Amino acid sequence: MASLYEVLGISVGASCVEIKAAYRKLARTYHPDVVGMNQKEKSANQFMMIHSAYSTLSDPEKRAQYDREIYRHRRSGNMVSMSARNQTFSYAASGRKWETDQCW
Amino acid sequence: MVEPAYTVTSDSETTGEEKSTTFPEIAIGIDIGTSQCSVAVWNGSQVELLKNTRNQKIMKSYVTFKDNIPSGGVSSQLSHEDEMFSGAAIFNMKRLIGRVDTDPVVHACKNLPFLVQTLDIGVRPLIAPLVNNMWRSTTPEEVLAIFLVELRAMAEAQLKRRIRNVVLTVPVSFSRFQLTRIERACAMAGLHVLRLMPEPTAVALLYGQQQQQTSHENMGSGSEKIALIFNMGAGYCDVAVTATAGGVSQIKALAGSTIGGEDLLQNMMQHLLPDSQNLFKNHGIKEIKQMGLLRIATQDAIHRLSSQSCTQVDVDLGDGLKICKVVDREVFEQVNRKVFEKCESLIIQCLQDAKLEVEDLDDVIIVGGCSYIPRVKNLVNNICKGKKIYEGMNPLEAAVCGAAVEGAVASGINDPFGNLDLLTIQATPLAIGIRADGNNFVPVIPRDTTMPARKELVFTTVHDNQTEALILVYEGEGKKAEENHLLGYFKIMGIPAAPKGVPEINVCMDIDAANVLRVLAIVLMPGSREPAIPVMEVRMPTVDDDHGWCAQALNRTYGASLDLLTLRKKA
Repeated sequence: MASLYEVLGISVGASCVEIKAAYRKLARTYHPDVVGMNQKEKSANQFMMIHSAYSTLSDPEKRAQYDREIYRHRRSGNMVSMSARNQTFSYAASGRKWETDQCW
Repeated sequence: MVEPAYTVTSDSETTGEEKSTTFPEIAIGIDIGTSQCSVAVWNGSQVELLKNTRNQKIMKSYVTFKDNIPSGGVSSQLSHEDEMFSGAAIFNMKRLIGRVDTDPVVHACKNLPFLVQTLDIGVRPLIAPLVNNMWRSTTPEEVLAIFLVELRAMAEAQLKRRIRNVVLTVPVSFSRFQLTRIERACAMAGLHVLRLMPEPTAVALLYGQQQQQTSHENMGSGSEKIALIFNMGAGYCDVAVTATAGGVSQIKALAGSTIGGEDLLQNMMQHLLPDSQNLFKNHGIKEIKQMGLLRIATQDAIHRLSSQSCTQVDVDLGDGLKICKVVDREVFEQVNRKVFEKCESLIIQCLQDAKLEVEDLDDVIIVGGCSYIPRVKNLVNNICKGKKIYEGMNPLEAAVCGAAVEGAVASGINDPFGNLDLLTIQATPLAIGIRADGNNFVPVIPRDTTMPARKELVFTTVHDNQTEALILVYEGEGKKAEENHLLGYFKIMGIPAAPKGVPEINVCMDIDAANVLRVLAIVLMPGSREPAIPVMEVRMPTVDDDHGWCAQALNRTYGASLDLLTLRKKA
């Protein structure tokens, strides 16, 4: 699974302007309003993930906290839980595909 | 002229999507205002406003009922003002649509020169024009549909093609019920709603387009621009904060309220004739004529006060009732103090929600019919610390132009110059949540959440061995559950017996790209990752109208036995 930086396709040291630019660029590709009728649901999931990464990284406080967590987890070798997992919903029983497709 | 046909097509006929042409049909933009309306379309290179046979771009939103033929302000040759005296004209539909008879807005409409009858129990009000001395019932949706049929005929005659797809602008404060009613009216008029856009977000899209055009001219120095949009019409006041760059507009915050020119007018009428409510209570032919006369005289005076500081109201209502008063701006502003204060609080709230200071704003945009009122301009100006008001937008046409641009974008039209390379990322205008922690409204999706959205909160039982729980879904801004719109409800059954506070009831809300709301409830027991019982998924709204009494009935039957408590926010 990808880190929030990987979701936005930016480096860990990206500036605020770079974060915003990356978010906009991805929104133009993945927002449900710009994709075909048959891809709305998948793109909604992708866009929500992009937006969630953006809202964490564009907020200096949240970003600092995220950076601390990612550092701690890297040291403990537990990268998996540091993915954007907290934004996905894996209730298979709902019958809907809630896990975001792994295209990152 | 195209003969308007008032046919009512069923929902199933109009919602089925079939594409017969290879060319994408460009959806038209419609702005149905409380008092005025307009239609615009992307003509291939720019937005064009459509005109009626009398060469008007802005038409009055009303329908008159005479004998068996209703006719609206689009085609009607007769003056709206004369017909208002007869009780046959219905207007202010946008204020009445999707509201129940306990709503204060509906009560304020009782002063209009047609019949608005309430029983004050939370059902739909009875609305009727006076036709041949007979009150003939109608509904806001029907009136709106008649009007939309005329607008459609007008657009079809000019564009020489069939019109099916539309983008409509709506007030920010519209509940989901009101949105469904607007969709219903469109379906009755044979129109398919491609999108319902909160009015200031349509203006934001137009602003985004203008910014992109400017940045193209400057060889693409696409830095982010933040704008505050204040829109006040006859029925509603809306505020939005948008951040735009490179054609992408992100709506950062929205705020709206049912206040507008209509309130200014009613307050002034009350000032000119303090006993008016009592005098007109009977709604007889004589009273309706008097109401109409007073209304028009007051409206004219308010219009004059936009350009002059003082004016005289001189009107003979008959029956020895004459009004001859001088009113100045000071009186007008004093009489409407509360309305203007509300406008101010909306702007302040919107800026706070967007987490921005006035200094962060690049542009301040004022649109809507009330933008001509000096006090309105001043209040925006004062809050925005004298920031220059954005020029380059027609206050009466901005919303419909934005809707037309969205119509072209949503229809998948390409523009060789990149003028349609636009995207508006919308935010939720109202919070959606459930009743929990006693009688509180606990938002699951807060206001101003970027859409599409998915959020969840964990709740738990309040009683030992509680095996059932009631999920009451509300939309709104009130702290108490009943201050909001009840969208629907369902019961969770079969929760495994456990001490109170142990079962985890995960309530997840999902708003998809088409603004469809789904509510899921998942019951988890500690130590297990699998749901204890099948997950429930319910599409909202499940009730037809904003019937507050449903909640009262549920409360009478179940009391607090099926209540929930907030457990924690899921990380």
